[in-house]
Formats: sequence, C-alpha cells, structure tokens
Amino acid sequence: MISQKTTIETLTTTTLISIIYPKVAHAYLDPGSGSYMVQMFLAATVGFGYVFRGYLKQIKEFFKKHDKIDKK
Amino acid sequence: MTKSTKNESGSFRDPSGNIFYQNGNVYRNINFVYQNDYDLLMDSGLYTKLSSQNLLVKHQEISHSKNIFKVIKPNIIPFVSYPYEWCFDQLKAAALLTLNIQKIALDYNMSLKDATGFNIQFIGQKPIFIDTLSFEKYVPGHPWVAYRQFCQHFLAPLTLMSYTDIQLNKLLLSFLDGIPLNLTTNLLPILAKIKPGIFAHIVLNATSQQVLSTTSENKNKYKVSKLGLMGIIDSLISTVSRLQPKKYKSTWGEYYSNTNYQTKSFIAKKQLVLKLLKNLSAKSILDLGSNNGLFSEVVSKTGAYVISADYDQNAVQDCFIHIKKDNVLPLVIDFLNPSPSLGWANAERKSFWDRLNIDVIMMLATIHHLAIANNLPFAKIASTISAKCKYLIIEFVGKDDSQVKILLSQREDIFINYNQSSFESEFSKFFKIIKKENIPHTSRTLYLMQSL
Repeated sequence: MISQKTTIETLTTTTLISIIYPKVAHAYLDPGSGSYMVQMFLAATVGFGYVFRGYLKQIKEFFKKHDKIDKK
Repeated sequence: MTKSTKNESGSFRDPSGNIFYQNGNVYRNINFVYQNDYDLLMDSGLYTKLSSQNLLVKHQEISHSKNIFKVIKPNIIPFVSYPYEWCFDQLKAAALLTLNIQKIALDYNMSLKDATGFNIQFIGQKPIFIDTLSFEKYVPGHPWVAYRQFCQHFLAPLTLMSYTDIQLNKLLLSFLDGIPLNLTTNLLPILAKIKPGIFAHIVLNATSQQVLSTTSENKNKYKVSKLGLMGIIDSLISTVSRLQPKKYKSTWGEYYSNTNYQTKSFIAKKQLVLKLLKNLSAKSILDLGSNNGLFSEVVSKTGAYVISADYDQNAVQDCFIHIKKDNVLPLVIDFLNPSPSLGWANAERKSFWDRLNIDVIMMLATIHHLAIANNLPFAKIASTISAKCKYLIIEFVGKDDSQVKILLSQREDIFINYNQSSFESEFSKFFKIIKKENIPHTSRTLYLMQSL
C-alpha cells in the first residue's frame, strides 16, 4: 500500500521537476544554493510527514497504554 | 613545534583547525575562529552525549601556546580507511551515523557543517565520527549546509551500489567530494529514479543545482524551519535504511562452501596459524586475501587488531555482517591495485601502502592467485611484502593442489619456476624462514618468516 507520505512526496516532486526542468545551466555555479532551494521545497512536504508521524506515534502509544490498563 | 611534529597533509581545508602528529600521537589545533562553536559543543552537553555513546571520538584538552585557542588530543584510530575501501553496509552504517549525529546535534541547537565520508572512521565494525570541529551553532531558519555533501558522499554511492552495480563505490576514488548528483542520475535506472526518496534527494537535487544555482542568488532568502529540517533528516534516514546491496554472483562470495576443503584440514589449518602467531605478540595483523574473514576472526582471538582485506565486495560484505568484533576491520582492497594517494598534491588521502605499518601480514591461499593468475614473480611479492611487516605467515599451494589445477586448466602453464624450492629461495632473499609446517590432509605448507 502506498503511504500518505509517499503520495505527497511523489506528487510534489513531480510537479516541481516539471516546472524547473529543463532550463539553461549557469556557468558559475554555487552548488550550495541549489540544494538550499530543494531543502526549502522538501521541508514543506516531509516536514508535514514528520509531524504527522510524531502525532501518530503519540496516539498509538496512548492506545497501547490504555489497552494494557484495560487488560489488567 | 618540536622537530618531531608533522602536520597532516590532508588537514588544511577547514580554517577552524588542523591535525598534527607528535611522537606517535595525534593532536588537533583549534583556532580562535572556532572558539564559540567549540565552547558550545562542550558546554551544551552535545560532546558528552555523543562521545559517551561512542558516536564521536573522545579527546582531551592539553596545554598549549597562547597564539592558538586550544589543542586537543583525540583517541587514536587503529587504522585509517577511506569510503572507497568500504563495502556497502559499511558505507550505509557511516551514512546513518552521520544522520543520527545531525539529528542529535539539532536537539542541542548545533548542526554539522560537513558531512563527508572522510569524517567517519571504523574501529573494527563500529563507525565513529572523527571531526570534532564539524559542529557549528544552528541558526534558526537556515537550511542544512552539508545536505548536498551528504547526498554526494553517501546517498549517491549507496543508491548506485543498490540499483546499478555494487562495485560503483569505486567512483569515489575519482570524485573525492562525492559522486556528482547529475552523474548519479544518469547512471540510475528509471525504476530507482521514481522512488520518492531518491527522486527528491538525488534527481531533484541534481536538477536544481544545475538550473537554480547562480552566485548572484542570495542564499539567506531560503528559509527552512527546524521541523522541516528534522523532516529532511528523517526522510534521508528512511531512504538510506531501505537501500539494499545489489546482488551479483562473485567467485569469492561463497568460496568456503564451494571449495574442496576437508573439515579436518580446515581445523588443523586454524590451529597451525594460531601456533605460528604464538610468542610474536603481534599488535596488528593484515589478512591479505581474507575472503569472508574466517581466518581474520580466528587470529583476532590473539587480541591483535586485524585488517581483513579482500577485493571482493560480497566477501567483505559477508565479513562485515557476520563478524561483529571490535578488532576486525573488513576492507575492500584489491591487492593488485590498492588505493593510490589522492587529492591535492596527491597527498590529501594516503595510499593503502603508505598507511601500512603492520606486525604480521598473513597470506593464506593467495600466492597462487598472485603468481599464476596474475603473473607476479615470487621476488616481486617477497620484496613488496617484506617492506611492510615484521613477520609473514604465508601458505604455499603447489601445482598438484586442486585449486591450482583449476587455475592452470584455463591457461598455458608458463610458470616453470612455480615450485616450493624456488618459492623458498626467492623469499629467503627478503625473509628468514623461521618455521615450516605441512597442513595435514593437504599438499599445502604454512611458513612463518621474519622480515630481514
């Protein structure tokens, strides 16, 4: 099954690549700034997944705890 | 500096400090420019957290002159190795360690400013981060400055080894700052490129570097929240964790299960090797042509630090996964073409031979591969080996041995001098033969020799 994170990542990145590809490369490259731009885009998508997973973990732990108490 | 002080030829890029050697010890100068970051590393508790878990090399501060901020003495790494000498799982372990450290560092409001493979060393099977000056204060909103470097040094070779060919880690020999991401993209199959993690961190990253990077861009306009940064690190961890080495059938991966070794002779050989090592009080052993490290593990019981070197990726991979010892370091080394000196002035990364200073070299069942399969004369082998060790344990395999018969069946026998007496006379020019033992149930002989 494709996870929600996977779907979001694929959709966003496919859209991005179609926007920025292909263009003329510049002669004097600062490789750093290119990767900064990617990080800015990625942070928006994977950051969401990161927070989502964090909440999911908390919820799971909450139910696990209650499950144990109920069984007792 | 005293006369015995020598600067490390590969330590000059970072203005924060440099490595030097004195009387067999390693030291690191820390310049005033790094003062704030060093103080933060030590006072925030990050150093204690990382070093107590053996993720970062431990050091002690020592007295120094006033024109330098600090001098530290890091613990010694028994043998320095480089990413192009690691098998897939070693590179993967090094990548995950780097990401783990970056994640912890962010919790302490610090961040890695470098993420090269050269910042990691192995002590036996365990990777450890060695560049104490790689930590800088985290500036809120700032992207990870070493992100591209991480992708080039770790993610690119791992992805290529996983989806294209396991031997592509050798590209790291040509590209010391990691494999360019556009080259990686060109070499990857489409099936790999559509995987979200690889697409984001390799394909998209490569494209944006080509398309969006100009010196006129103001880097400060790119803002990344800490949560977003944690998300990127998390995504890198899951991308790296999912990668598996591409399977390929090698001659040596299943050597021991395919050979006609009888169990009795195998046990006898193990005991003989240990007997020959007795009383040598060897601190370091190089097992050349170690295959999956079976004999490296045997000799590691003496307490010596063992470098288990073989050219076969599968065999070294097997060694790394199965032999979990603090004193066995598996390395992918082609003895016929070992890693050269590389980098600026050919002095930044030392050649494999230059790094060797070994008590005992062990060459078990390798002589016929060198002499017959690769036409190396006995004299050439003996002179090269004798320059690098005090003792040599070597197994002579005669022409009547089944393995040699296989080798000779595929080519014309031009090796008229390949016999035991010629072997002994040529090796005696560089070594003193101390002991000579026949391996029971075989026609093979084990020698203990001392370098002259």
